[in-house]
Amino acid sequence: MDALGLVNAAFDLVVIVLLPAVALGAVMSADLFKAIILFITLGLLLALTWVRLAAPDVALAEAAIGSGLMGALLLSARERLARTRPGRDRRTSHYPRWMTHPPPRRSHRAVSPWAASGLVLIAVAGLTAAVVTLPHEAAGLAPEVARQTPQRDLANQVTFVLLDARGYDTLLEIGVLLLAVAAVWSLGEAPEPPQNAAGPMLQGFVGTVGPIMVLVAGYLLWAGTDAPGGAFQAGVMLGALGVLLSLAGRHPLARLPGWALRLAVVSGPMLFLAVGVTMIGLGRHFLEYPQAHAKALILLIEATAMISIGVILVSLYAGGRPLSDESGTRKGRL
Amino acid sequence: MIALAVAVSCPIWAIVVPLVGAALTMLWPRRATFVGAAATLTTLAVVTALTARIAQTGVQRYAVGGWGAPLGIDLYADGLSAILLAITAAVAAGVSLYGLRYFRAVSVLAYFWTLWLFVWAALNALFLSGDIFNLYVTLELVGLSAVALVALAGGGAALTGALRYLLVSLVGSASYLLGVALLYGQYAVLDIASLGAQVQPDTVTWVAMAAMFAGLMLKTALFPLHFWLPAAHGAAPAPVSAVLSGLVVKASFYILVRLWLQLFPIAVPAPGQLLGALGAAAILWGSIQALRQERLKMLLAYSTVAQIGYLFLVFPLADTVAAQTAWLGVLMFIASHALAKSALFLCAGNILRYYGHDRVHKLGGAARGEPVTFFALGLAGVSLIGLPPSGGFIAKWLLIEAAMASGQWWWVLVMVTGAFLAATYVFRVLGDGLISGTVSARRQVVAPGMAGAALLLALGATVLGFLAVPMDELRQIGWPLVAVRGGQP
Repeated sequence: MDALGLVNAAFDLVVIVLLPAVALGAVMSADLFKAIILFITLGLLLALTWVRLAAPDVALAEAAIGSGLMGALLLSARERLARTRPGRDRRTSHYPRWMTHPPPRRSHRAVSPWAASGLVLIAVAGLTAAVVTLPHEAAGLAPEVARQTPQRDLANQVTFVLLDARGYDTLLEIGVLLLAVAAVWSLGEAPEPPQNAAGPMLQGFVGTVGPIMVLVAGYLLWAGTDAPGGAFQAGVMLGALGVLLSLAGRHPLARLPGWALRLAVVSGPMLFLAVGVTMIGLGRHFLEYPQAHAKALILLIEATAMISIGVILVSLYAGGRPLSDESGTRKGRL
Repeated sequence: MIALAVAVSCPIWAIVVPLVGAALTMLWPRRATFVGAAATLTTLAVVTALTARIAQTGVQRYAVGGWGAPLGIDLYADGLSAILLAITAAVAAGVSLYGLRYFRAVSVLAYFWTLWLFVWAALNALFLSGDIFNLYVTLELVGLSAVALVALAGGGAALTGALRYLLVSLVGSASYLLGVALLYGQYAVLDIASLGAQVQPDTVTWVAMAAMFAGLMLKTALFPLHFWLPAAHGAAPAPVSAVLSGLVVKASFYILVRLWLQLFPIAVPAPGQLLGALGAAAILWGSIQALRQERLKMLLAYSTVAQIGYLFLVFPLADTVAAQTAWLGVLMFIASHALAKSALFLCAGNILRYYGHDRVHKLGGAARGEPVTFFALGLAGVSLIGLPPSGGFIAKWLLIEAAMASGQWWWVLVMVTGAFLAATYVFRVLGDGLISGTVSARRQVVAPGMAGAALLLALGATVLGFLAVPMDELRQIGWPLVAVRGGQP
């Protein structure tokens, strides 16, 4: 027991030292590639931190989204920046010049570094003062959550809070994802994917790992009601598979007709809304599940949300509206 | 029939209806105009029903998911919410009408409806939220959809403005969220009403308040945190600028008001005076910058910076004998600025369409070329300056009265100076238009719906001048802490 405590303390110490060091490195690095790699590392370290803080759900999400998917997005953005050569196509490119250029080493400073440091110091001082006086063992609403969760036939309190007690927040958060896709699609069509054929290693890897990832996504979804996991983590797993497939040159969304893609993106939030409204029709409040069917409804919502989240993440990675979408190519007048 | 009216007036519909509309426009982009118009009309109906319900039966509390605070999330709708919902609906009607005819490319049109219905849903959700974490979620939704709408204009200026707006918006939300986390750590509850009953003037609470106020001031673009606003509001498509200047900056201000009224543990004069001073600086700086602008849309954007300053003058007056007058004044100001400024931005869109440019000194002959638009421009300008009869006049009158009654005459000086400066920049636009100059060859027809939408909003700003009494009656429904803060010296 003592030995374990010692190991834990040493582990914490390493994380505490590494976290700010890696974060600083990511911010200060002049090399974009290095900064991205450090950012991915930071995400993994944060995930470990969440594990140590006994928040495995947050750790899963952080590792999958904060580190994995963000990393993929950043790397693909970097590649797109490199591909858009400066000066070329300036008339048709609707990106501002500084986005298509390699970032300048010394950019114009709008705020003096002294003022910025002063602001940061004030913020740190205030936060330190506040955190020091926070109650130490505050239980928050945890006891109440622990009391209510089993009554819903759920064992994972996080799922209970996210899908049941505060399902409305989650509905709006899924709305944020939908909004993100709408925003990216509104900016223009997806760039032509690079034609360089993926090596046999990647092809083989995707072939082997793909089915396993689908299985893991399904497991995360199913287990999410009772153990760490859930729609977000499962959706990200599907999204990661989509990104891998894209990298291997098999663009998973390119073959879908426009309407099917749009349906897949919208179905998660729409079903969530439909369940909520149905409850009103049954004389209950919006999203007030009946006791007997709460678990089934939550699983249904999560399953649809998982598919939407996965498709949305792959769409975001594609970086523009799909070429097959007729509404985008038909530039008629109203 | 009555049962239907009661069912429709449930607060959740004001959020669900535009949200469903947004999702449907995304699913069915080629019918986006039809779906968008239908969603607009339905949302207008449910918001009207909800406002009427609040006016008749008082404060509404609705437990989403049936749990109720503290475990669940409550929607909370009092008179203050009702006023903001109604203002949003009024501006939304004008913007939707305008949006029917403004966009030409089918793809842009479809995304306009999706994003615009998202903003509307998020704004309604924000005004109805009774929970500080849920407020954060709605704030994020408002911010992200607003950013996407700015980028809809395409082109370098819009994308740069949008990206800067995105970064600012995220920093502002993160700062607010930090405050939420601290408050939850201290009080273990997120419901505003329960929090309000528990708050103590301790370190954690003050730091949390400082973080939340800083984030929201950044989002409201209070001087000197306004640096991002002109680029974003100036570069966005006209109906989007109308939504941003008219409504979106008011959303974060609304949260400031809620926090001030319901969560500030004790009345302390220093923060109020500081906010008032920043507001005064915003009025002077924004007005002077507006005077110096070449382009009409940039002029209007800087005018928004100035007009936001007036909103913050309520805080130094809020703990005095004149508190009630000051609060009514500021709500009147929010309403009149929302209507007048959105009308002005729609006018700017029409002028841009008509002339192909919006350079202020080259608008000669606009009065003859685009009479309806020009009339709307003049009418909205009257309200912006604060001349009678208009909502802007009543709003400034009430604020000046409150400042005098509480003995803080220096705010009166600022407000009068601001009105003079506003008159100068409004007449700078109107003057050139009235002179019968030569109209350049590149003229395009402005659809009647576009001119009509601007005129409707401008008329709304004028009619508002006669609605102070009903607005005060609505405001008093569930007005927070009337006995403690609002009144006796």
